[in-house]
Amino acid sequence: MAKGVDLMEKYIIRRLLMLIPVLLGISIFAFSILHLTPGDPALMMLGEHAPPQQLENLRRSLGLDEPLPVQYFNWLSRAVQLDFGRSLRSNALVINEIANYLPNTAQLAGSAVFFSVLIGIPIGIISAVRPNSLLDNVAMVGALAGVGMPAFWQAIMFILIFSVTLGWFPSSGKLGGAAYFVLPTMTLATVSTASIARMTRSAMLEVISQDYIRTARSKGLNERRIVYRHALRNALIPVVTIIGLQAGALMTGAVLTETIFAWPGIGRMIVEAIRQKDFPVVQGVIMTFAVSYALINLFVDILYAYLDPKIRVKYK
Amino acid sequence: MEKGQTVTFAKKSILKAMLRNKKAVVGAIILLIITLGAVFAPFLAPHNPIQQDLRNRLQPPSRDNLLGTDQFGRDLFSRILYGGRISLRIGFITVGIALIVGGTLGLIAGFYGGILDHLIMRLMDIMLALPGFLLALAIISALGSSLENVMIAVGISLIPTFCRLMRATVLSVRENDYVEAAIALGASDLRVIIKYVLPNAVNPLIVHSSLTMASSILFAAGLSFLGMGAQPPTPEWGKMIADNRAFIRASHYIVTFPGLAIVLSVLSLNMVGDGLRDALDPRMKNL
Repeated sequence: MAKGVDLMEKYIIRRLLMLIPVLLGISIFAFSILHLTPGDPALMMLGEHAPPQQLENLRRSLGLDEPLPVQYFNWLSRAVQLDFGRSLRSNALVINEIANYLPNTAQLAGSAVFFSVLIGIPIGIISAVRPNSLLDNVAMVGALAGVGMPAFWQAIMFILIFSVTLGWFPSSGKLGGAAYFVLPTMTLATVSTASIARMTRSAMLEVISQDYIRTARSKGLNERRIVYRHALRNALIPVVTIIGLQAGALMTGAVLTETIFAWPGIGRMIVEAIRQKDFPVVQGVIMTFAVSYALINLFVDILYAYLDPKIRVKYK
Repeated sequence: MEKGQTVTFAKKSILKAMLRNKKAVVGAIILLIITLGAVFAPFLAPHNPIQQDLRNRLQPPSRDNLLGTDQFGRDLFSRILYGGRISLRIGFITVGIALIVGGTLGLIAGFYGGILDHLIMRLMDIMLALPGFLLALAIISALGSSLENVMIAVGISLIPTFCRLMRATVLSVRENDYVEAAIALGASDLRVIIKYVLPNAVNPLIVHSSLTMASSILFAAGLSFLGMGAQPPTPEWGKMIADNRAFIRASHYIVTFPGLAIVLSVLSLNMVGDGLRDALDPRMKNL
C-alpha cells in the first residue's frame, strides 16, 4: 500500500511538472497580447492627444523601450512572483484586484456546481431507469436545449421573468444575501446541469446492461437496491470527470454571467479590462484562468484515479 | 460498376439511418428553414434590416412587422433573417479555418510523428490550456473588436480538437496492414494520405464539424454580445440582444426572438450532428 501511495505521489509530481511548459506557453501568449495589438500600445492606452513626455514615461515604466525577449523575461520573472504590474485605469496592483474578485467567481461557480450536481444526477438516473419514457424524452430534449442556450440570453430572460415581472430576486450586483445568488447561479448552472444529466443517463444505461447487474437481478434483489447500490456507484466515475470537464464551460459562463449580473468576479473584470485596453489586468486574469483551469483538471484526474480501482491498481 | 453500387448503397443506408432518427430529422428541417431564410433573406425580408423608422419604435408583433420592431423602429423579422446570414457565415468560416489548419497539423503530426508530432501536440496543449471561449476572448483583446476578428479568434480556438481528431485517425489508419503494404510497395506519402487517410477521416470530420459549428455560433454570439464582434448597425443576433437589452421593459420581443434564433440554430446543428454521428460512426456513440 505504501508503495502505491508512493507511485501516486510520483504521478502527481510528474503531472505538476508537465504543467510548467504549458503555463510557460500561455505566459508567452499573455505577454504578447500587448504587442500583437496593432499600433503603439502607449499611444492607445493614453489616447491620441497625450503629451509626448507622458507617453515616454509610460513606455519606460512598461519597459517598452527594451528588446522583446528582455521585456518578456522581466515580465515573467515578476509574474511568477504574482506581480502583474498595476492597472492602467485604477492604478491598483493587478494581483490585489484579482485577489478581491476571484473569491466572488469561486463562490458563484461553486454554487453552480453544487446545484447542477444536485439536479443533474437525479434527472440522469430517472431517465436511465425508464429509457424512452415520456419523462426521459422531456428531460433529454430539455438537456439538449440547455446546452444550446446562450448564457447571456438566458440571463436576460431570467431577469425579465423573475426580476422585472415577478420581482422575486435582484437583477444585479452582490450586496450580500442569498437572493443575489439565485439568478446568476441559475444561469451558470444550466449548461452543467444539462451535461451532467446526459452523462449520468448514458453512464447508467451502460452499467445497467452489465453482467453483474443481471446477476444482482437474478439474485432477486429489489430494483431500488440494484440502482442505488450497484449501478450508481460505478456510473458515478465517468460523471466525476464530466463535472471536471465543466470547469471550462463554467469559466466561459462566468465571463458572460458576471457581465450581465454586474457580479464582481474576474470574468467581468477581464471584459471591462479588454474594453478599456487595460493590458496588465487582461494578462493577469488570463494567467489566473489558465492556472485555475490546469489545477482543476489535475485535481479531477487524481480524483478519477483514486475512485477507479482499475486505474488505481496501475500505481501499485 | 460494382464499386459505384456499393457507394450508393452505403449512402442510402446512411440516409435511412438518418431518417429513422426523429431528432436528426427535426434538426435537419429546422436547419433547412434557417438556411433558406438566410440565403433568400433579400427576397423574403419585408423591410430593409437597417432602415430606421423612429415613429414606429418598440412595436409588438403585427401584420406589418411579424416579430415587432426594435428601439430604432427597424423590422425585427428582417433583421433576424439577415442575422442568419452572419451566423451561418461565421459557422462555416470558423469551422473552415479550424478544419484546414487543425486538419493539416493533425495530418502532419500523425503521419510523420517524431519531433514534429511532439512540437505540434505541445502547441495544442498550450492552446487547450484556456477554455475555447476564453482563448478567443484573449485573441480578440489583442486583435481588436470586429466581426472578422471574431471569426479569426473563434476559428483559432477550434483548431486543437480538429488537430487531435485528425491525428488519431491517421494513427489508427496507419495500423492497417494494407497501408503498411502500400508504403512498403513504395507509395508516396501524398498517395497514402489521399488514398487511405483522407477517406477514413471524412466521417469523423463531418460529425465533428457539425457539432463544432454549433459551439462556434454560440461563441461568436457571446463575443458580439460583449461588444467585441459585430458593430452597429449589423444585424448580428448576439449584438441585437445586447443592444435591445435596455428596452426589455418596453418590449421583450426584441430580446426574446433573436435569442430563440440562436437557440434554434445551435439546437438543430447539435441534433443533426448527433444523428450524423450515430449514422456514420456508431463507435463514437458513447463519446
